[in-house]
Amino acid sequence: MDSDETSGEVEQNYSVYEEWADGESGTRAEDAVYEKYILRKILFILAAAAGIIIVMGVSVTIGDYPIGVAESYQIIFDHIIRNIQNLFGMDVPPLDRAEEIKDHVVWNLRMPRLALGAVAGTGLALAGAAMQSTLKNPLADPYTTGISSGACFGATVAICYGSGVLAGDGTVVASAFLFSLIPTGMIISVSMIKKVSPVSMILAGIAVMYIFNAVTTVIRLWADPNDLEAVYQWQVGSFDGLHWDDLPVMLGVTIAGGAAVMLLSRDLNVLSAGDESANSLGMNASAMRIILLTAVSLIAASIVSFTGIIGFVGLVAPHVARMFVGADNRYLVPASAAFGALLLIVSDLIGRTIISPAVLQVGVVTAFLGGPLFLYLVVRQRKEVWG
Amino acid sequence: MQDIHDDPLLSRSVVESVDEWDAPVDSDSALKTTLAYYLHSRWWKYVFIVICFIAIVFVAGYTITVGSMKITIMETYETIWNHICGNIVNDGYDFIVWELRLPRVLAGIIAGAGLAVCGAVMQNTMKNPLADPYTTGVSSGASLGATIAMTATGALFASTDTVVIGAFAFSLIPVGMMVLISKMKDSSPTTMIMAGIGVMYIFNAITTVLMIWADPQQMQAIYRWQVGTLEIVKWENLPIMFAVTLAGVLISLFISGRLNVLATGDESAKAMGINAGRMRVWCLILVGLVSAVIVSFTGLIGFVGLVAPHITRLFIGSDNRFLIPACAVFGSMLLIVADAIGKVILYPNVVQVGVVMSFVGGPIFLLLLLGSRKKMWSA
Amino acid sequence: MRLSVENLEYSYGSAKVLCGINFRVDRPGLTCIIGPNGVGKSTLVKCLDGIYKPSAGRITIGGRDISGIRPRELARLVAFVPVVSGDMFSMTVFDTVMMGRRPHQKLGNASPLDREIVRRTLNMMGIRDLAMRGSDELSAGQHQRMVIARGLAQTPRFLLLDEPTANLDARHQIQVAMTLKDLASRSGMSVIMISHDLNIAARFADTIIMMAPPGVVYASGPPEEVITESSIRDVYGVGCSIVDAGGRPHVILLDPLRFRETR
Repeated sequence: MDSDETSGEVEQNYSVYEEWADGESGTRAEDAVYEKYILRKILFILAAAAGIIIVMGVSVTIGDYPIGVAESYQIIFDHIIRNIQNLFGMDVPPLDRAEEIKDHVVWNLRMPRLALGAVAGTGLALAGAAMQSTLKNPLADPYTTGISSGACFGATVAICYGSGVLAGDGTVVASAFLFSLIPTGMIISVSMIKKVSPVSMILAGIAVMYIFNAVTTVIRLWADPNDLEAVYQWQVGSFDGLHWDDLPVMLGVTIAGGAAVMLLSRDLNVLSAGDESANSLGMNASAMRIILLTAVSLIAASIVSFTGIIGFVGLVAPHVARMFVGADNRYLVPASAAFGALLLIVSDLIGRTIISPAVLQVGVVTAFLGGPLFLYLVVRQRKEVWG
Repeated sequence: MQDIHDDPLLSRSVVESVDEWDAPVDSDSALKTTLAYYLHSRWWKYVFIVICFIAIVFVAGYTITVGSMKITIMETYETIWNHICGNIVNDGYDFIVWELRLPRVLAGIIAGAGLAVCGAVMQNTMKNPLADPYTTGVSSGASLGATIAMTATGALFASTDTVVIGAFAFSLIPVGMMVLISKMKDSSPTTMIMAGIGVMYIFNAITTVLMIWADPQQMQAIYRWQVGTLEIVKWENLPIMFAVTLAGVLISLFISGRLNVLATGDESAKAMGINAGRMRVWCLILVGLVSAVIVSFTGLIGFVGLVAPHITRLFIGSDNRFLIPACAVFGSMLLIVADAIGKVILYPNVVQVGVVMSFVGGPIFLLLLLGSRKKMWSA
Repeated sequence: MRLSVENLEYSYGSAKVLCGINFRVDRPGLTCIIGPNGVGKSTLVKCLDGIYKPSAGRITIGGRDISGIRPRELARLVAFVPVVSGDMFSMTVFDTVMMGRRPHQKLGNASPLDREIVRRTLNMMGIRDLAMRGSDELSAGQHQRMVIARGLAQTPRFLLLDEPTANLDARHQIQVAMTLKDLASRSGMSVIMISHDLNIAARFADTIIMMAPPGVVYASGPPEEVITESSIRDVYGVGCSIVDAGGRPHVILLDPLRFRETR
């Protein structure tokens, strides 16, 4: 009913603006500029996507069993085709022995960590982009509301008191997931009761983090040295020990959350323009912030509970993407997602090759890459980022 | 006044009223009450400092009584007094009190004072309520230094000299890098804080790699060091800690007036003749040095530097001339209270002071947050 | 459409800022709210846009209480232009102004009509050339005009502005004020703006609402009735002489009254 009442007025006011209209030609020239501006953003996203495919191909070749780059694409392609043929009940020619081994190596041993790495990078980076706009703070990342401390606590409890010693173990994943949602849950419920500014949310996140970390520290100090090592390994974040079985949950949550963030990307723009402006544009800023926080937290929690705390992707990927595509979230969110996936699988590739045969955890590599990148961002940043 | 008297637009009454403003206010009651209030608040500030001081003496005495050997609080004071006077009555008591328990308490007092004052200075110079002594990156540097020292020598105890030296040597690298970066760009608080975070990330990454490669026992030792404890400080460590901390507190007191000016903003500080950027760099170096010395002996005791200045500010306001001495005594008190709690709460098990501090500090931080009416950061 | 405010009260915690505000905006035109610092002008305007919920009293638009109007619909009726604050992440001016079309869009896609309206509002504020600039590359005055353009792009019935001319140079102060006045007289739009410049208010406003401590309306009506030597003396504690400027009052501020007298 409201649209009926106001639509007439839109026309009315619009007609008053008539005097300030300008000619058809000027409009067309401007549209062309705008389209070019959009095209540049889309090109960045496509370039990152192409990068992912190339790096994946290279990454699959790394390992004891020698497989060429072209070959690896062939094997992956064949595997997918065979599966589709199987699905439709078609006749599938059996593989010979060598082919079978290669298929196993590529598909079951090497692909899972790549696929999961790409999903984790996508999820963390888009969560980071959304978080930075939601909380209006360039230093925010998916862990700002305390997800990492909660997950650490959950994993520590599960490893030190439970049976599981290996990361990726079911109890560790479940416990990390469960506890990771507690800090955010607390912040969200507080902000439902009382209007809370983004700054207070960040500070509350820090406070909750401190409390969780204190408990975690106590457990660790009393833990058996071997358990402590396992906890520490988990905390750093890695893709070791992940299987195809782990993918559906991560992928499902990331897609659902990512779709929600994408749908709300215009609202994110409005939100980052300030609460007063947002309210004046007909948006309930606090409600929107809660919705976005929920989506971001679920994405981050589902990833962290499988991989451990992989830092930096969620912080740095949006910043790098912003340098290329600007701050408009409609393009920033997909660009961050693509770049995050690329960054994470490149990091994993580096970690596995740089001091081969020893392997560096992906979390360590992202920290090594991210630190200098962060410093670079600081030095070249023009604006004051804090009030 | 010349221009006002010559202004043809202004009526005589205006000129008179302005002239009246210039006249000294002699018997104004408002002025008196203001002055009385000011003196009163000043008086209260001294009282706060004295209360903290008395509390330190009592808590210190109490902490010394806790242990497997029961010593009463009066005996404690007596033993200490006797030792100072040089006539040792009970050798057993003297050994336990003087050699085993007193260094720890004194270390707590010194570390608490040093970290709290450093925190107050940092919060002021960085204009950020979340700054603490470790914003200088000292913690990450010291961590790396200690980790390298432990993994290289295979030491399992944090007290060895190599660990102390390693921690100290590395702890000042991040400060140096921050100074360098602020020279490259500017010395705004934001640049410095962000540079500190960036350097911290890099150092932590290296520490992480070393810890992952260390064997479990060593890793546990490193972890213990990182949490921070007073147990490992010995008598011979105290003079350095004391001297550096005292110097730091005195310098901070000396510049406290300037810190007040700095808090009004870089531009107005400049207008009042203070080069804000340079002052910030020197404060950074000062805080870095003091906290580096403390941290290399005790490990990373968190929260004192963050929480103590905030709580002190609640009581006596944010005038640095009072805040800094009050912080020193309050920080000492907070840390030895935390240490005492750690000693007794799970007796005979000892909870490290770093853990107690984070348990106490987290909720206090949350309360501060909920209680503060104004925004801590501009949104 | 009528905006009416009845017995409006608002408190920040225990501090009462607005104490029973009553006024009405009946017909399209430019209304200026003036008054000393801290008298609750911004609070009042934010209440009108539903950003603050009043602690007592009610605000109605077209007979409907604004607390009962859904935010999106309210945004089509009322636009608010806040005091300029920097953006954390900068978007282009065009996209920022396009945000103003959000309340009118169904699925969030910009129609040609939306684009046309944005272009025209950019023209109105004289920032068409800056359309593809980042909002962080603008001066304070350009930024201010961008935010006003965003408010205009909402095509509201009531446009609320918090000190829109504060950051503008002499030419743009007059230009913006004239544009708003022109819009108000020719469209169905009521423009309500806060101003500290008594002469801008006196020259352009159809109605002036003068507020005074402790958060009440001291006087309201046409400029020549509200802006008088005695009212300015009472409310601001400043003496002045008022001269006639083409049928409108023009204020020349003179002597600050003695501090103790005004307390």
